[in-house]
Amino acid sequence: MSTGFATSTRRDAPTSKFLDLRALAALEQKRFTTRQRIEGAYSGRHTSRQLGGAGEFVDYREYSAGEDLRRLDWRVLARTGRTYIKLFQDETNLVCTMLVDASRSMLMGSRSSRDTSGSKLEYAQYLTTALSHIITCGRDQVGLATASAGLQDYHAPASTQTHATLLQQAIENIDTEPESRLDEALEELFQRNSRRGVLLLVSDFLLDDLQALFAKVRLFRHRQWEVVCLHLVHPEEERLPEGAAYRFDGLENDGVVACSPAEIRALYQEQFEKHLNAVRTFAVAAGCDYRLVSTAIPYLTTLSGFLVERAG
Amino acid sequence: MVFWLAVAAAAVPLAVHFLTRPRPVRMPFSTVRFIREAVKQRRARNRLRDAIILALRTLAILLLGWAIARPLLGEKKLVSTAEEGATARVVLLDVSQSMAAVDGGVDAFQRARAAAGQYLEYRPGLRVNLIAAGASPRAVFEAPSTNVESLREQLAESQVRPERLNLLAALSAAGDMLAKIPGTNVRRELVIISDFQRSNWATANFALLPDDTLIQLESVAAEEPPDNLAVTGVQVQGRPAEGREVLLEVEVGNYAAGARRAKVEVTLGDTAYQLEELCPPRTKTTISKAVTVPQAGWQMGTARIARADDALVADNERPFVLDVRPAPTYALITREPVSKRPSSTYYLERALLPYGETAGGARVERMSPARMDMEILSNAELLVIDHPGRLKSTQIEMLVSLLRRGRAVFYVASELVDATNLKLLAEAAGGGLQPPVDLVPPPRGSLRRNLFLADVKTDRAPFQGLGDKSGALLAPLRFSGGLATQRIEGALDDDIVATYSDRSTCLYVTSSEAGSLAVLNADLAASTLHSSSAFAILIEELIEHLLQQNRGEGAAAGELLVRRLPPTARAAASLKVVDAAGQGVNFGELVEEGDGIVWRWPDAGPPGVYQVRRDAEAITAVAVTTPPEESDLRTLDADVLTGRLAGERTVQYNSTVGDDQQRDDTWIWFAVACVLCMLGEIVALRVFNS
Repeated sequence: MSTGFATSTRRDAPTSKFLDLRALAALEQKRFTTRQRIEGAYSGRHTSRQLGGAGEFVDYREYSAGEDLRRLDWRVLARTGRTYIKLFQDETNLVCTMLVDASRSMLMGSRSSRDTSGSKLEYAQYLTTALSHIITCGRDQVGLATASAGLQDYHAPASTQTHATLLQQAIENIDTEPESRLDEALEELFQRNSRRGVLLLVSDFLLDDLQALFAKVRLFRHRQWEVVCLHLVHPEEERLPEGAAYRFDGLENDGVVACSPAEIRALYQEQFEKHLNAVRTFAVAAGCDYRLVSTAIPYLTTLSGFLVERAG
Repeated sequence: MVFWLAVAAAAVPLAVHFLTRPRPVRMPFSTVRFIREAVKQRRARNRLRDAIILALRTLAILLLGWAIARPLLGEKKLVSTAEEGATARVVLLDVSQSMAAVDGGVDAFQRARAAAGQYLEYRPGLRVNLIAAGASPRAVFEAPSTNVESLREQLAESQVRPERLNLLAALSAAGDMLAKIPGTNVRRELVIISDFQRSNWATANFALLPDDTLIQLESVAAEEPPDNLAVTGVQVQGRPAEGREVLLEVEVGNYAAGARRAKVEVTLGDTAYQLEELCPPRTKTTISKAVTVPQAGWQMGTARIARADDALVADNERPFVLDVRPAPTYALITREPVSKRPSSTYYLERALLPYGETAGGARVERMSPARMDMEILSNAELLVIDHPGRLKSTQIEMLVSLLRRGRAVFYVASELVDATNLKLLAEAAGGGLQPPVDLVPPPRGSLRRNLFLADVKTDRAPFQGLGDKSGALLAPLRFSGGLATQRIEGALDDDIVATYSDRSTCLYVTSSEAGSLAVLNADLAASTLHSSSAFAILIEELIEHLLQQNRGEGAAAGELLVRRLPPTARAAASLKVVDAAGQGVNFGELVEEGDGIVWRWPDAGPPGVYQVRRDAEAITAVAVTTPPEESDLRTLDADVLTGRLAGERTVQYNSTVGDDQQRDDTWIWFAVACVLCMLGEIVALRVFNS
């Protein structure tokens, strides 16, 4: 696991097990677009927030004293005798930061304590690895943050392949912790990032205080970040496993409960549905792009749908 | 012990509940708090549901076990088969005829055998005996024993006998047995298994038992007395004589709640007769038919109810015998000469042969006391004594001998010497002849003249023959002569049939062993009786009555039969006793006693006709029958048995039929309740899951 904020990697780092290039080949042509104007360091395909001298002409505005005369539209002046400046949409690159929830609850669905196959975490790892690859292929920048009891690891966005490989390794090496304080992680992340971009929040949102979390999310929104919430849900979380009697051990030190799922299924689903609605409500209220993702659906299908949807 | 077993049984569903609960699968889970919340909400309902289901299951198990075990309900039995300690127990098993009554396809004796078996189980300290109680008690051992195996074998082989229950003898035997048990710490128990028939038990007396005897009464009678139709008696009215018509009377007892039509088939010799009558409920009905007896001698017959369809089959048929005598011969012993007319003897002779000697074949052999011939007298049906003068002791002895052997004597007492003769006759007969009065000389100076009948038993022979006209016929009669009479203390006043206006006895009829004696206290020549139209009727009725008395009753099966054979029997060695099939195996013994032969059979039976024969000639015959009282299947109330009859005794009553019925119903209800509990569990599960 990356302990700090690494800035250099080996050039010949091995490929992540979560990177399936053959499967992603079909998705490489797709681009991770944003629904709003972004701010990027380089010219890319994405619509920039800034109205500079290059790019596509979009509109006129009256000239104000002190503005750059080079932007003055002389033809309009000649025709109308009034001073107007041209406004242009510059195309820049995407800066995406993926925040992966590394709390212990993300291990839900693991085959064993040593084998996280089937878990939400593994799903997140596949998803974020694929996204890091696709974003990098689009010459956009992608960064990674992992959060559990605070910001666990952070890799600032970059667009090189080496960086992507580094991220993928970091994703592969995510280690979970029993505590889940995403709000603190978000705050720290916010402090570290002055630039606008896209925050991709991949989590199961099983937190004690959703309000606190989304309060931090709103910080990003206030800075005009686009926040996409990918809410991971395991099928057994939705409907409880089948069987006569279970002893459910809480993954985040939240105790043990023995019961018969059949007896409480209806009541549990009611509670869980309430939780999902709460997350959705908070996310939408915070202006986030919210998406409920079931780990029963192959990640590629989810990813493909996600990219298509965002492409408009 | 039973209690702890029951607790263990009730704990079974609890153990099953806990042992079969599914073992929980451990699973790491992320949304435990939601699960916890759901469980919390569900917990209260689950507790209630689990409690209800556990209670229903436990109840179902208990009910099922109880239904299978069919435990006794109600009070604990006084005589318990589980009681420990030294115990002497006598099991008295009623084997009388009524125990063969069938109710619901099972006869009472089968139930009795099963009930008795429970009390013949071995346990340490128990000594037990079995008495089969019929006409006489039959104990397996002389005293209670530990050999229960033999007792159970005897019980298995025991059968109903065509006898009445001699309760007194049975209780006495049981009481003797229990009283002889040594030791003070021995528990004495008497278990009586019977149908407690009213006719047998109404006079039960437990005083014959030791005071500390615990008495357990086990009734095997049906809850309601089953319907029964029985032939309770067969007789003839009138003296059966060859060629004469007699009235055959069959008595049918209808022991049912409703009237029943009885069809009776009577066979007499080779002839069959059909009788039919509607018999009212709970009463005996006499069905009559005039029959002509074709030939003389002992005739055997049976009366059988056709297609009776009742509870007791054994009493639907009854054998009977008729002694069809040839034309009667009367021996008239008198000193009065034939030529003396009118005379008392003359009037008597005319009354004995109202239609003359040739009519009906009857004869009168007139003889003086000095020429009394034993052979002639033996062959005579009736001895009539009138004005005999003073009889010698040999003559008295002769008369006594004839009386003992079943002859009838009609003595007309008119003289003082007659009082002496009758006194001597009574003394010579010993206890066998007990006249109700002594004839004594009238008080000095009093004349017995124009006495009239003051007190007459018109419902008795010979006066019942007068019918409704008895008053008109008897009122004008005047009697003279005869003797005063003195009542003998302790004698039967019932033997006095008529009394004069001066309180002296006119006529008495008494029995003397097998014979009978009628004494008319009057001088017929000086009285007006002879001129009355009632005279012939009275004499005929009296003779009929006397001769019927001599015929002898049937014998009850299982009881002592004693018959003094008629004088024609002669030597015992030439006689043998046979049954209807002519077989002669152990039907009593013939013993020469004094001046005659006595047939003694301690345990007569089984029912049928038995004859004493000399070669092909039947000397006498008797019909051994089931006692008619066994046909009335009504039982005594339990309250009477445990209350009035028990007195201060510890008596407990239990009905095996009621218990079985109750248990049969109970276990069904228990089983139904068990099923309802299971259904309730299903409903509860559905309700709590919905």
